[in-house]
Amino acid sequence: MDSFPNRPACLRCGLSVHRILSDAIHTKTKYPKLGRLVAQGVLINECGKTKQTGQPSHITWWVYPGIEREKFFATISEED
Amino acid sequence: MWNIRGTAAPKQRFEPFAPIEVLDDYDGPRLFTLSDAEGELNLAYWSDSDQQICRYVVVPTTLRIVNALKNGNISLHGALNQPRCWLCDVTHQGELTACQRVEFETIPRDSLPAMGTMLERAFEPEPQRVDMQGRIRELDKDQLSFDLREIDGGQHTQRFIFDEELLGEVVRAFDENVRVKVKGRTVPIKNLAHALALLRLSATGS
Repeated sequence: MDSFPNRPACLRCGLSVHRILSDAIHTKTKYPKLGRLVAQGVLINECGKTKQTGQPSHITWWVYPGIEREKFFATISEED
Repeated sequence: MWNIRGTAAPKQRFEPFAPIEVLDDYDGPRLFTLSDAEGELNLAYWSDSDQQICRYVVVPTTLRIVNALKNGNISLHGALNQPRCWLCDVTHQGELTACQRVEFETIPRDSLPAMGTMLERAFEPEPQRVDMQGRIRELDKDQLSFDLREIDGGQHTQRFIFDEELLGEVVRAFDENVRVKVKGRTVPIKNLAHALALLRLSATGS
């Protein structure tokens, strides 16, 4: 959830994910309050639609209704 | 949401709270420039949020600083560490509800980018593992940092930063003057490393 209701509605409906683990860790370092853990998973076609937006490793994920997002991810520690 | 002592400032200064240029986006703009009521350029950094608001750290900036961020010539922390600083609370509907002038140094460290972190990962050298034995000196409980001295292997001193959950262990090792093994990793600042774990090597100070 962000503070910019005028952002394109399509982007506001998507979730940010990174393709590369080290980029996810870097984002966590830039914004510590995003959370302490990084979760890793594989998105299959049934999960929804994805598209690269912004930086090369940044993906926006539009999750299909009814999908349990956490089912596809497992938390990992930074040192793993 | 964390609170620090500041001086209430008129929120009109930063209305409308709308990005001019988004420098970093992750589930929305996280780092961006915005204009204040005088038309001056500012840098806004998403610091934290809860169910009600997003909190941004806002500082005056220049195009030179913005370009230095984009080109990897200044860290995020370096760009934000300015003599004047505000905290702006914005609802998830985009309404700026509160603004206060604060001292940058009083903002909790875990609400700011880690020191040395650059806008792009590609700008950062790969961190190296650090594994040293010595004694903790010059402990700074506010800045969460210490010097490691009497290091095995000849190095005179190494400055470490650490996270809050390590504070208790660090304070005990410092108070009891025990030798410790510190495991961590380098950060892209000269002679600074991030301590991730602490192991006591001796029960006494001798």
